[in-house]
Amino acid sequence: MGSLYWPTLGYATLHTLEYTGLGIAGSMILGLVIALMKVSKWRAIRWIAIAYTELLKNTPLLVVLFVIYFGLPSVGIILSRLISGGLALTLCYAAYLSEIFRAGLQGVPNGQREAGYALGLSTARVYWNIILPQTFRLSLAATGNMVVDILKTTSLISAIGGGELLTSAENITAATFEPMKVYLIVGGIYFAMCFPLSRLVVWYESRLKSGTNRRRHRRRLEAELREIGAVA
Amino acid sequence: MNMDLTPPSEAPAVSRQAGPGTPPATEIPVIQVRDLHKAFPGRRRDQEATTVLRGVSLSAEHGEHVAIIGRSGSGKSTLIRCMNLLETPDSGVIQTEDFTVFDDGLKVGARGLVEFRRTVGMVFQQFNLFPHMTAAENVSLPMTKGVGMSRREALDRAVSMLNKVGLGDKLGSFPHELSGGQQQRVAIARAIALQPKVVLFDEPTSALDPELVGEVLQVMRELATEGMTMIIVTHELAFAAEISHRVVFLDAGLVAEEGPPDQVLRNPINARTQSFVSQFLGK
Repeated sequence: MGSLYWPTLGYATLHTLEYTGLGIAGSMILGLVIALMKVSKWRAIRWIAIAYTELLKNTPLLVVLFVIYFGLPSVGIILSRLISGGLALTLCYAAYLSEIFRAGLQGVPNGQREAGYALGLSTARVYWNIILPQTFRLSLAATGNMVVDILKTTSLISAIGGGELLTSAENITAATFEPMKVYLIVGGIYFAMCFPLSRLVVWYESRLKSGTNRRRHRRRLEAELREIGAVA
Repeated sequence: MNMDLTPPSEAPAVSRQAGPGTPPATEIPVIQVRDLHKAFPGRRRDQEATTVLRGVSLSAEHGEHVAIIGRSGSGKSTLIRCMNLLETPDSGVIQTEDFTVFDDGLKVGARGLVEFRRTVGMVFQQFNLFPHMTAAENVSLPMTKGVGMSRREALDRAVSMLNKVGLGDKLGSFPHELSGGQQQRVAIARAIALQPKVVLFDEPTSALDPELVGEVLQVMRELATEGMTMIIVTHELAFAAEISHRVVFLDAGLVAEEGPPDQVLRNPINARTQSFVSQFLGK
């Protein structure tokens, strides 16, 4: 494998990151929606959310991907590889993330909700300003693991020739007959992306725990207070 | 069962220290509930519902301080939580001067509920401060996110509220950096930030270490002196005697006795009230 293939791997890495980005954004949004449905006061809504989670949690991602990419065209829905891959990741990981977020939502003491309502805040405000920031902190570690997992799982999209790293590794191998070298290099690229990402999550978590963010937050508040002349 | 709306001023006032001042003689209660019934359904289908309120009526007039006392399980907390609809009663009426928010199973809509709650402050046993915000932001939140005040204006008022409860030096502190007593004082500042017409206290000192109770009671005393209408669920009978115009003894979901503190706490008529207060006042 000559230097000829480095640009190919570069593009493939970008595609991997595209799938990862779509998967993370999509599954976080959908996962949060489903988590909120799970704590709904209406039984039917809770039931739909639980059914969704169980269905997607117990179906292989590869099968979901094939249904989307190979199955849907038979009912007239044709999606690009990029969208198909992003959608499969979104649907599957939303199921896992919804469980993580639900645990986070339920981990916020009920008194927080009650205090918000008692202060005359709307339900949307109570969730946005009081519940979700605390849910975020509670779910951070588990969510970080999922994010890394999504990045690694993009490799499955090679099954539809998604053009990401593993697809391009297969193509290069077919041309150079050097599987050992190519797969080790590609494995190294995955590692080089995943390792910093998981360290980043650990770092951010420790920052939250140590109160670095709180200190910065407090300094900003104190500046504002000085501005209105409330403190010296 | 309708309760007596006579202003408490007609009761003989004996030995009140930091007394409630002259109780106002007005007509319309700031808040009133009538004939409230509430049962909590059993967890499983085969379990029976627990009836907590069996027809309670209660009101507070302008500037009046009403203490609700009773054994645990008598329905005190449920009653006060119904008063701002954190619990929805099964039947009865809840109304303030401006709103009828509950009328025999009909509850006001989400919009009206939000408006109503801005006029009713609440202080919880567990403080329930928002842990991700500083004291000043806790107090500002209902102003900035509730009634749309600018952050600057809200902070300005938050500062004066926190000064009022003696925490002007803790503006930038997070709840976990404060003692229980300080947290509860922040919670009181937060509850009065929107200048509500009445403040509900649900056992405000029950979660505090004994040495921290005094500072919270002092803040409540000052609030009372300013003429704030207050309804207080409490086990601090001495404080109830000192501060309240009227004491309501709740027993098994009913008002067993109510009247001026000198009657209910010192010379109760009802046998169950007698046995309850004797445990506390050592008679």
